[in-house]
Amino acid sequence: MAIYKQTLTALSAALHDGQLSSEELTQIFLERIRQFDDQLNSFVTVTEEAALQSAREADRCLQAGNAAPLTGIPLAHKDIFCTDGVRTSCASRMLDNFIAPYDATVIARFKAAGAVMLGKTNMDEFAMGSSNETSYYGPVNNPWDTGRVPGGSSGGSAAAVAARLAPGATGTDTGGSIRQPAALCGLTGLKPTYGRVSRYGMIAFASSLDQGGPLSRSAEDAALMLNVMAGFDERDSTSVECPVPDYSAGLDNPVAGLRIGLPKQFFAAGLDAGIAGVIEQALREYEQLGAELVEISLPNSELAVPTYYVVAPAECSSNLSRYDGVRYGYRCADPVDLTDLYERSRGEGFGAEVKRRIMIGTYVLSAGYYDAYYLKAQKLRQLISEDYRRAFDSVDVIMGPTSPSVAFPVGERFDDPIKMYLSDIYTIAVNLAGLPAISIPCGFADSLPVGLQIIAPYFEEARLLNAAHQY
Amino acid sequence: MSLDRDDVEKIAHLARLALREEDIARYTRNLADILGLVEQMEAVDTRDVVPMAHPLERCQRLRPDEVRN
Repeated sequence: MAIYKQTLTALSAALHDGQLSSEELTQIFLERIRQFDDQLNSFVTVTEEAALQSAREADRCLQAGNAAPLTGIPLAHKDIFCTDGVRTSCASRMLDNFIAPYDATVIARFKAAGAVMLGKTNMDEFAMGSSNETSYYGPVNNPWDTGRVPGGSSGGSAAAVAARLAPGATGTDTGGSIRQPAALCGLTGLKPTYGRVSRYGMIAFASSLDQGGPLSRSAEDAALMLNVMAGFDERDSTSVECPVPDYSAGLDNPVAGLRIGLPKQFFAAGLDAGIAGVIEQALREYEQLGAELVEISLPNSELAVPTYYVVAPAECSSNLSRYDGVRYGYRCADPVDLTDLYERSRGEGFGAEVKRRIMIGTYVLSAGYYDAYYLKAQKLRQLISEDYRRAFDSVDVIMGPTSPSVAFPVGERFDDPIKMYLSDIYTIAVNLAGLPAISIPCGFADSLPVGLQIIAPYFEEARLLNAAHQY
Repeated sequence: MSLDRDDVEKIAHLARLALREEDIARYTRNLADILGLVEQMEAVDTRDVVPMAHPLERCQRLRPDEVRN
C-alpha cells in the first residue's frame, strides 16, 4: 500500500522499524500538498522548512532509540492554535498579519512528542460555520466531491486528512466543528470532554464550549493523538486535574453487553432516509457484537439549537472584543479617531458571519435583554445537560447520526444562516453539556460519507474509542 | 422578533462594527431571523432551574499570591 495511504499507527511502526525516515515521510506529504492542495485549499500556511528540520531531529531520536509513538509523524494543525513564529490567522483578515509569539499547549505537547508540523489548516473564520465557506482564504473543497463542502469549521483539517495530505490533524469543536466535518469527509473526529484538552493558546470563540481534538482515519490513530493532547494545564483555568488514561490500552475490549441509548428525537421524521438506513445498519453491527440497543428520550433536544445560538454568540462577542486594531491584527487605513479605528478595523477585518454572531451576542447580553435571552439560555443548558445525565443512568453510550445531511454543494446554504445552523442539530447539545463525543465513518448515502456519532459520559473518552474501534 | 434598522445600528455601535450601507438591510433580516429561531426558548418554563454557566461544576481555581515568571 502506498505510504501516504497508511494509518498514523502503521506509519509510527514503520518509522520505529526503520522502514523509512521521518524526513522521507514528511517529503511525501509535502509533495502531496504541493500536488493536490490547489483543488482543496485545505492549507493556509505550509511550513516546509520547519517541517523538514523537525523531521531530521525526529530521525535523530528514532535512531538513538528514544522516540515516542508520534515522533517523526507529520501532522497538520487547525489555524486556530497559536504557533510560535508562524502565522496564526483563524482564517480571518483580522489576523492575516498575525505571527503568534508563543505555542498553544496543544502545539507544545505535539512538539514535545516529536511530531512534525506540516502547516496550518483552513477553517471557517474564527471557527464560526459548518461548511468552511466563511474563510478569508476561500472555501475548502471536499475531496470526495470537490463541488461540495467538507463541513466546518475544521474543514481544512478534515479535507487534508481525507485526501491523505496528512495522516492526522487537529481541530476544535464548539458546536460540532470536529465531528461534522469528520462525518462529511469519512473520518474519525473526537471532541473530548470540556476541560480534558487545554485551551491555552487556542484562539477563543466560545469559552464554555470550545474543545480541541483529533481528526484521523481510525480510533486507534485518534487514541495516539489524544494521549498527547489530553492533560491538565495550569495555564488554562478551565483545565481539569483528571488523570489521563492510556487511550490506546482499552481499544480491544469487547463491546458485548454495552448498552447503547438511541434517543427517539435523533431518529424522528425529517432525518434523511439514506442516512437513517446507513445508521440502522451500523447499529445492527453493534447488536451482532453483543451490544444492547435501548430507546431513550432526550426531551429538551429541540432547544439545543436556539440555546446554542444565544450562548455561543454571546461568548464570542466578548472574546472577539479584543480585536481592536491597536496592538496587532488588521488596522483600517487612516482612522480619524479612536471610535473610527475600532469600528472600521473590526468592520473591515471581520467577515459577515462573524459580524452577525457578534451582533447577536451583543444584543442578547445588552441591558434589558440579558435575562430574557442569556440567562434563559443558561437555564435551558442545565435542562439539556440533565437529560443526558439521566440517560446515562441507564445506558453506557448514546448513538445517532452526526449530521442530518451528507456533504452539500458549495454555496447551497451560504445565504441562509438558519439552514446552515441546522447542520449542527445532532452535535450541538453535546457541547452545551460538555460531554465527549466521536464521529466515525459508517457507510455512504448517495456515494457520500455518513458519520455515526457516539456520546459518552464525562471523561469516558476511552469508552468512546473502544466502541469506535470495535466497529 | 422584529428588529429595525435603528436597532441594528445601535447594536453595531455597541459592538464597534462599522457596517456598510448596502449591508444593513441584509443584516437586519438575518438578525431578525436568528432571533426568531431563538424565541423557541420561550416555550419552556424555567422558573425553578439553576442557570448553567459552563459544564464543570467547579469554582475558579486559585493559587497563593506568589510571584512566578
